[in-house]
Amino acid sequence: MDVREAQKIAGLSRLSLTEAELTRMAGQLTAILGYFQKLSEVPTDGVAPASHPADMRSPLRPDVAAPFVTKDPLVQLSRGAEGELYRVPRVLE
Amino acid sequence: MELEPVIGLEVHCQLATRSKLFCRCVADFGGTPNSRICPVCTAQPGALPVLNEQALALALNAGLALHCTIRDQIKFDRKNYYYPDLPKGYQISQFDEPLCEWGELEFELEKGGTKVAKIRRIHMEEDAGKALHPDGANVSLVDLNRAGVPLVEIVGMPDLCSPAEASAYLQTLRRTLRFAGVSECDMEKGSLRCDANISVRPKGQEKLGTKVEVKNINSFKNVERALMFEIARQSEMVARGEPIVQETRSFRDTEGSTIAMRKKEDAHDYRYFPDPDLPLFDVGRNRIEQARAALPEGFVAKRRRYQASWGLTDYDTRVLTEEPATALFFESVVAAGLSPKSAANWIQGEVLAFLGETKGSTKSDISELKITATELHALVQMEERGELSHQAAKKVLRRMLETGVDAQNSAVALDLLQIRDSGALAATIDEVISTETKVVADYRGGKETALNALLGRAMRATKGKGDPNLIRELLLQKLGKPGS
Amino acid sequence: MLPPELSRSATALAAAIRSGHVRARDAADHFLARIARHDGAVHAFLHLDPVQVRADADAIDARIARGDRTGALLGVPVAIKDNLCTRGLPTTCASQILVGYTPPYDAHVIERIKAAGGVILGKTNLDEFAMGASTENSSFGASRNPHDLKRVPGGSSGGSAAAVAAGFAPLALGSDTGGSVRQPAALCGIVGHRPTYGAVSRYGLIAFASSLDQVGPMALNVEDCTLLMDVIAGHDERDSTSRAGAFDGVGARRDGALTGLRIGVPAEYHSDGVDAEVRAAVQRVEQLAVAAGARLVPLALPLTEYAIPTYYLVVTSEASSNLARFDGVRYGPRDEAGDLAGMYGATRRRFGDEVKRRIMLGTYALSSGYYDAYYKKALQVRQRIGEEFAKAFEQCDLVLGPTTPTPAFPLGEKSDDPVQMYLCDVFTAPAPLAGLPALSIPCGRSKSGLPIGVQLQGPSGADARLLAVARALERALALDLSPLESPRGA
Repeated sequence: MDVREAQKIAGLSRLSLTEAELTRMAGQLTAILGYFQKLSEVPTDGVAPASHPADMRSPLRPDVAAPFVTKDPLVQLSRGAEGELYRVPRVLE
Repeated sequence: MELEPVIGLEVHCQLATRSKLFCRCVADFGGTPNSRICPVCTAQPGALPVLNEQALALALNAGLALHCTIRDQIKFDRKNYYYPDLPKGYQISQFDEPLCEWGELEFELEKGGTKVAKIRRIHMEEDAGKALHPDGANVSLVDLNRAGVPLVEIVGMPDLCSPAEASAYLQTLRRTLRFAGVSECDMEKGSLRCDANISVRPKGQEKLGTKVEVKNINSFKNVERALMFEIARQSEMVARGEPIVQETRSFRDTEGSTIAMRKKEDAHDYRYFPDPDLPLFDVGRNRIEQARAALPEGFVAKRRRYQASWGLTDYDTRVLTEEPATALFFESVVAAGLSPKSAANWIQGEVLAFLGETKGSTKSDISELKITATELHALVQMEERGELSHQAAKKVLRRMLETGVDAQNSAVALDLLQIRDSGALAATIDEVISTETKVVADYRGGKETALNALLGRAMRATKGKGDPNLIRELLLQKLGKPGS
Repeated sequence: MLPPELSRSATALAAAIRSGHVRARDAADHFLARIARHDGAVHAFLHLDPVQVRADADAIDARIARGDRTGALLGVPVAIKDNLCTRGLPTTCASQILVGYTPPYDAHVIERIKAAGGVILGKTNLDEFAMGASTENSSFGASRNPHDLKRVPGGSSGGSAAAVAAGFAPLALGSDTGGSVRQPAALCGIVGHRPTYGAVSRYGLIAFASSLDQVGPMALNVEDCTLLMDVIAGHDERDSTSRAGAFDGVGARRDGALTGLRIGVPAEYHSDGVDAEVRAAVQRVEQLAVAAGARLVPLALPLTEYAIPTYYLVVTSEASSNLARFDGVRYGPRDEAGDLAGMYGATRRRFGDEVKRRIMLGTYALSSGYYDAYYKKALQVRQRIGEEFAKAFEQCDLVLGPTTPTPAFPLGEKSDDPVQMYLCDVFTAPAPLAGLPALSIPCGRSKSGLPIGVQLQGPSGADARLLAVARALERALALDLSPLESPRGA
């Protein structure tokens, strides 16, 4: 992974890294990814990807509405609480 | 060079559930900002999603109503992107294995006949919140009441050839989903949203032109406006030899135009992957077949049945199947015992007119009526028994619709019950005969129609409450046949 | 001060409180006093509110005075890893990005502990977002191993492990994604159990890698570990990965588990990469098991060496998405820096190096063009690892081996080399990939006095059996399992 690629991935991740950090990160990630290449030794043709431990099934929830009860409104956890709303720097449409 | 447009619609519908897709917050439209939120839909650390069973059932109904193939096992995927109205930093959606695929929708063409458009896929996903952008301030404000509301996205194939077709497709899609109970499909409340993909190409050319996506089309009327503007814009560019840029444009209601939207950074890389909080779901053949069997009758089937079984006209059936609630009310009136033709006449003539006036629009919401099917039937029976004249019955119904008071009491309150006592009427008739000597003479002279004039006088004398049949009978008894 | 027999057994302590021999308040004071005296050196706790702890203990005593003696953990203090949400108590994941955050709700396991009469003692240190194997990645400073303060306690549940080993708490909760309960348990000389995936609700556990994360009990001995497991296990409708079956607490306490037991011994667990003292200690356990009536079954688990890259690809991919919610919008610190992108970037600079590294790795593995080669490939190998385990469990009842390749290593030794740190998980990462239960119990000491752990891994749902076997082995080993009088090597 070169610095330009690291820059792109940092952008996708909303991580702001300095030039020096990017260089170091690119080097470390290259080493780690190199080690991960080991997986290519394992034959996996036709093997189903396991995104969960085997044989799990999700349940369904009855359609019952129940408000979350809390002493203080959840909005007050935000440093950007503005009345009932969350304030953020202006988003351009 | 003659150009033709190629149009496909992507429609988002809010599923008509009580609670949100993955948490128990209320899913209705409205509410004071951020009053319908919880740890799950505000993405508090550690909170987890659990799928709403009814949302799955309604999405399934959408697929069945649109004749899709249904997957009997589904998964949810995360669509990763950053936006302040997206609390988790990803949207739970379905990527490569949607619940429903390859359906179709038949709709009527303006010039007559019908057309079938293919549905590519229908998938379930959660809505984002809403970002408000107050004028003049350099901030945006976020309301998360909508965050996590259940949606289906219905992706149509680019099978539509004109703005009019797109509009007809959307109207028919809306009615289909409303009859299947899937969604309210109310564009004003945001429970139906439509994006359009549109390109132009030389007529006869196989290859599609460069596609532009138009967003923020906020009403049915604007679907056609937006598409017409976009076709004209693209056609002019082609005429000038300019290349069309693949982009997303936003419709602006006031100007009736579209403008390029600011490119969302890295919109091309959503890094979809299976949501590790949600293992596979077994939809199951059983659930699918049960839903198929229980799917509410669609408006096309209803129209066919109303005509074939009940002999209603094409016009009547269309009016009665405009809205699911109208059809439901009509059918319950018939079930209460009224003849289909009579039920159709009363509903079209009086009930819908009343709703049209009071709501000030054609969007009659019959589900808010103050009367029941049984009460409408009772009113018509009163007319049939001669207790009310037809005109009086209409007045009584109007009062029933306004007040919710039943037929008998409304009729009494309006003092419109017919006088059906021959003794009480005899005096009135004697008086008419004695005062209207000229008309009586005409009648006796052989002018048959003069009887109607006498009938009219008698009705007026009873303030319209006399039973006209009885009065006619009494007049004939007194006067005998004309010319006699 | 509590008498030794109560300070080394949560089970005995609960019984003493229930019978009125000891007040919950006395127990709380005992552990708070030890923390006050020694946690400066160990740094096991991130948040501790002695006033609240005493108030909660007093409330339990008041309940007992009213005649209400219900609850398996009556008056017993429990230390909680700081990635579990506690209403009204700060929860930070040892990250600057959650400084000052107090959750509006309790995690499922916290509700269970409170319902069982347990007293929440405080929040323990961890590697930031549970990403690490030494607790050095805490943004509030590393914890230290009470057996040797110059060494790491392991991680990521290092604070919980150190707290139990140092006698700060009789019980603790950790979380285990790739070994984060078992590895620190081994390095600190205590018992740590990673339940079958889904046996304990994850609701309120701040996600690192959702398809592997499990909350697990940590204790001085197997009996106490079982006590806590019994309280926290069970179905929760708020977690879609929660399993329906209940934990068999009775089975976990049954004697005679070693008779006729088939113990799988994989050749791969006895490689040269394992420290000689660790190998010897594990072999001694094997011999004790055979003496007690078990049979050893030689096994081959050739995919073991691929577990680490598989594990790290899966967890970093999931983590890159799980940590997207920390954006400063709805909770936690917010660093304004001009526009929205500036705010995101500035706020997320609060993540430590290892967290950033993993977010980058995961984003890369999921990104367009690399998904198939990295993420999907890892999921396919994961599937094969699961199949390999399933085949092994046709031949044996459980698999035994070292928990870690070495005893506790010195602070700083691996902190600059991510791959070396990742290799600490070589024996603990495979089971989570397959959703299997595993636990670590102390099985001896190195010559320099560092604890060594032995790991038992079982088939899905075999938590009770693992605990029963562990209990029998613990008895056969006959080690002194008392907490340390005071931390060593200061």
